[in-house]
Amino acid sequence: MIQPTTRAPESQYAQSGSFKIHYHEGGSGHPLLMLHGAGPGANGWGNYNRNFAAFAANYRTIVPDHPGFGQSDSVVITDEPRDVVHARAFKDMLDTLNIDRTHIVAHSMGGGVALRFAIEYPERLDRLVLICPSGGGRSIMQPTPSEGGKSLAPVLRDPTVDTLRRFVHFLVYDPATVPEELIERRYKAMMERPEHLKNFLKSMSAPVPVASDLSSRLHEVQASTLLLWGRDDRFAPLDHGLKFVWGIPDARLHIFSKSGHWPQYEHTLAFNQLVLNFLAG
Amino acid sequence: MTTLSNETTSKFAQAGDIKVHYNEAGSGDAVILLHGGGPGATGWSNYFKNIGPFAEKHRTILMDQPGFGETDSVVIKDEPRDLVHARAVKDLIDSLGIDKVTMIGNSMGGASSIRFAIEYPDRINKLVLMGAAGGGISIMQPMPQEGIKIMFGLYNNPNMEDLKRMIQVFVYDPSFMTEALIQQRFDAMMKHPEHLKNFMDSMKPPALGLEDLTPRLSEVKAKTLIIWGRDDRFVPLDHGLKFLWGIPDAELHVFSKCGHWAQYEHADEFNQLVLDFLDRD
Repeated sequence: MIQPTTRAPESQYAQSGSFKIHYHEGGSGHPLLMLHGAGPGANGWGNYNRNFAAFAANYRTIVPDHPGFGQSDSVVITDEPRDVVHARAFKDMLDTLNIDRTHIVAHSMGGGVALRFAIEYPERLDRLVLICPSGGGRSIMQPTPSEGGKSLAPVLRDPTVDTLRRFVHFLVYDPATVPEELIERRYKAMMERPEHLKNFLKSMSAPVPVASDLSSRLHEVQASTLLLWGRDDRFAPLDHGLKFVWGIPDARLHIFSKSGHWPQYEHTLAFNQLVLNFLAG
Repeated sequence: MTTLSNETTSKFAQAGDIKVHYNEAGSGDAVILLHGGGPGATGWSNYFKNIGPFAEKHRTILMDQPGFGETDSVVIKDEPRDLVHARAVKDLIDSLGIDKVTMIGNSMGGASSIRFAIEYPDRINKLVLMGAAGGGISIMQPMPQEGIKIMFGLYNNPNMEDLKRMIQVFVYDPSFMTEALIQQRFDAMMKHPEHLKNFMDSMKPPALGLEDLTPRLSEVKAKTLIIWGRDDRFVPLDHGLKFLWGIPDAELHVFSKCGHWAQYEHADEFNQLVLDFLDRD
């Protein structure tokens, strides 16, 4: 059993366009940006604390909170697709940190953002790792919205330990692998910024998508790409992985069995090894 | 590392009533690699790009399956072909005094390897499959596949023109296949006309050919890495998904721009992926 790295490096902030973005940074070498997914209470550290040490041993590893998440500025997004807004924020963040090019590892909604980033700012991206990313549009194998996706709004409307637990249990293949402390930690993080929940809910009712359907633009992704998926994902359907491996010109897809929507947590060692090997080229 | 050749690694052993030819190099835990079922296929022709890196860590054995290469020819009428091959592997390791092996199989050799895992669970460590046969019918593509149709034509009437046609659809990028390699393959095919005739005799009803092993996948106890070429025209990708769902402990890696021969078309990535998988607990 992998234990989370308990102590996050000290909090830092970067003004990124109109957003103040919170992040943790460790390690040195080529930059690596790790973008988390979108669930209520999600933040960079909570998403990647089992992986951070392995990556920081090899890269200048930067784990930000998205706009509207964690300790970054909150936002209501009504005019542009959310992935466009976030991708721009991270481009601005790189500018502020004087980073020319970076690898990106990105999960779920963060994956949709990273896809958008790859399309809009190809000159700023080296290698791309997408973990069950959004951005694939409709499933051709499963009813949409997915079971897990449907469990999101109830937490936003009624944020309790119970609604959150239900959501987090959909994230993984085996809920027994999620200790109650993790739920409680996440609940505490979520309740520190209740405005994030309200604002996300408001943004969901705006006439712009949280995650654009980027399937028709995949051929524009120039970065060498590794896709990782959980066979038993109840949020992002596996057929999107197949769509992406057909659409992105230089891609490979690795699927873990007995894994839900969180393979970097559920299959930590294999995940770290595959991704580090891929980034090393 | 000394450069290995077919000649310097060539060996024979009696395996039950079959005299088996194989190539062997390296020491450590034993790994047996089984080639595919095309006319003229041998262990060396399938795995000459892999034996070197594998032999640095493992006792690496490329076995010519019954009715292929320098192994005895056979007509198989009363049993599924994969069962006969699996038994020959078991007899070979008995004869070599090997207790447990890791099985790596491509195409027909994949079916033989799955069968070995089912029949001899106490003799196998891990299982690696590339474009493995044994998955029964496709649920996504018409059968027989384009490549399989050309292959049977070639068995019936071995000639250079059809061999080239087969190689055109065998790999994603046929420019990989040098004239020298094609000539070698042609010579290998013509060297043992009895293998070709016997193979076809073993396909004629009521002979059983390769069995659909999907109902028995739950019996595979070995940790399994399934590898597929996105552009495989011999064994369809949906079989990779079937195996991923059916084998209890499996992961699936899909290479894009890859046909039926991942270990050759993406040799470096393949070698690292598989060697890391064999290292992992």
